[in-house]
Amino acid sequence: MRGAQVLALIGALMLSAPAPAREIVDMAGRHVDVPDVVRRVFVAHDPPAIFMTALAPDLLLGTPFSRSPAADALFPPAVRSLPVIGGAMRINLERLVALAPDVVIIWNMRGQPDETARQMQALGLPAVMVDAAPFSHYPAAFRFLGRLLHREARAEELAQALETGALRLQDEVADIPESERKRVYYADSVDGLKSQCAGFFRGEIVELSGASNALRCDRPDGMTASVGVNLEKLLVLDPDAVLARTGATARLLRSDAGWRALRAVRGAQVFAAPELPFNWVERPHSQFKLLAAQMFAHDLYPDRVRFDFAAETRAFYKTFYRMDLTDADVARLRK
Amino acid sequence: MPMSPACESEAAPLRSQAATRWRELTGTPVLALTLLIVFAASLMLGAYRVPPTHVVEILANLCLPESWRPSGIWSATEQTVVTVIRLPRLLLGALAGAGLGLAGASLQGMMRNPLVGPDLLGVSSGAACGGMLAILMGWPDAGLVASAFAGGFIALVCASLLARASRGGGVLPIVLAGVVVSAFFTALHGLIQYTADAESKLPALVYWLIGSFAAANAHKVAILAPVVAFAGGALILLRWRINLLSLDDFEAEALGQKTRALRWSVLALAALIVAGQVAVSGIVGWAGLIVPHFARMVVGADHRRLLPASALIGAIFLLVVDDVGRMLAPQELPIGILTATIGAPAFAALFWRSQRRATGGE
Repeated sequence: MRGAQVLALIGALMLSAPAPAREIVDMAGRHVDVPDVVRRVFVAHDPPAIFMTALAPDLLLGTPFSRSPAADALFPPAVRSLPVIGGAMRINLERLVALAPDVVIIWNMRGQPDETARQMQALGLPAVMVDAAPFSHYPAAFRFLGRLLHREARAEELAQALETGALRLQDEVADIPESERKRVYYADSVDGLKSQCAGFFRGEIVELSGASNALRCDRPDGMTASVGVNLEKLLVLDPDAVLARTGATARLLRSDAGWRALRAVRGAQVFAAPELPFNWVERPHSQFKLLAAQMFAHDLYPDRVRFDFAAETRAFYKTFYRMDLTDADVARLRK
Repeated sequence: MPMSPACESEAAPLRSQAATRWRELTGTPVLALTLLIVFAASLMLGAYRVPPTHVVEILANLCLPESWRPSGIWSATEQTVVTVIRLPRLLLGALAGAGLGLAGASLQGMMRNPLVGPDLLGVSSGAACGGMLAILMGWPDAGLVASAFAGGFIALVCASLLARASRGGGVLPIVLAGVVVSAFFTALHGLIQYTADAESKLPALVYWLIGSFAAANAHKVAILAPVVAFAGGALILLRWRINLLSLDDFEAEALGQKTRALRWSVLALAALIVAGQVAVSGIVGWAGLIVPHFARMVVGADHRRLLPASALIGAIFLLVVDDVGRMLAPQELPIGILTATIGAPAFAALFWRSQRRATGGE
């Protein structure tokens, strides 16, 4: 008797909710029931949210990341009007329920049992997991999101833009002889003394730019930390160039007496990534990594790799954000 | 042969003594009633609007036998908000508050020192250290609690041994020992954060270190409830003996108490509560220190009444503060930050008052 009532209650609850129309297999291999038509999307992590700013900003309920006015000007108009609602762990769960998302998108972090996915399940919100690292998975991520949101054509366009760009860059750096391949140190932290080892996905910008990472470690990649180094170790490594994650780090390295002991620093081989509308290299990982890799490849091999910052950035913005950048925009991006 | 506890040394005028006595007797029931009201009100509050009648109906539907259940209509979303988001969070907050209040009151009584608390003694730091290690290594929940307990207990033992090495007695040695132990474990926090992955584990660690009930769920309640029930229950059963500990050892031994074993039991039980709390919601600082002071204002210094009152006030305090945390800003405000901003000034005021009394009372 009691069981029957419980079943009736569950039945009533299910009737009041929109019926799950189809099953989709997400990039973590989970089977998730999602509504056929998705109109309201909450993205819990920055990288997939940035994918969405290009693919379907009109479906976003807000951004998980905060945006400065300077950054906002370099997002498409549909993103500028979005509220900042916070991401996983920060959003107020009741507010999230009140926003009534049709689907929640979570970054499929490798090997980590996902607390956010469990939380969404408890709230009865369908949550799909999407790869956001390494860079080679981005086209697949766009195509997956395209299927989820019925934006297949646009997703295909963006996926192909990434594939074509990456392929062109690969061709340009493929025939560099080993003797001429630059050995690069990646300065990850503000003080420049934290880095990523060769092969680690967070430092993949080095390999993407056709260089080899001067820092080699024995331990495998995974959910490992940044690696700390010191200047003496760097002197021993003697990299040909330094890729700095931020402009502030690059300026520090160029002006600091200790760092100037490095051959790469003295030879003006310190390069920094642009930071608008967010860092192009990582934190967050995003499609802008393609532009960063092309730019760094040109910095490292100016004779081999062609890269016109203004033209390439304009084309990238045209494809991904359907925006025509002004000269002032380009200047601010280059800064 | 009721004992007059050592802390209460002021000679109150006779007239107000009756009033004090009345307050001591009625204090606990009034507090229990207040807790119920605060809990019920908190269930009605939140960013998502659920009509109070629906809240009552959902709750009734959850706990009443089926023939008594109301036949109200509420949405599935409201059901989720009340049962999945609010109820576990409030239960977790109340349990943590009650546990911290008990642990704080017991430690203050045992050490004859109203200026100690789980965080000042380094227990929270130690427990957090154990917990961070567990997060870093990806251990399951049982490992997290065990590791947090080991850390908390080690910290507590270190602090009390260190304090005992001093012959001076009084407030200073134990407070200093706590500072030393806390500083040591804080350094270990730094080390663990330094080695943690910036993208996946570090945010979780930092967030956890600040303390928050935002990620509360039924599972976490199921971890903390037995810990608080067991260790808190044991402390409440021991409460009249804690009165004896607040005498000095010589007098207590004369009354036939094995103070050594008792002291260690109280230490272990307090550490267990704090470890359980830290394991599910991170460091919630200051509550364990200031809640017993509020309780003493209401029911006096006798631990037979002070311990239950501290548990109740602790639960009320964290519920109210967490209500502020989840209502004030569009994003979550971690409770650890709020309790510290309330607790530190309150502690400063208490310290100032006690110092003034010490010098002015001559």
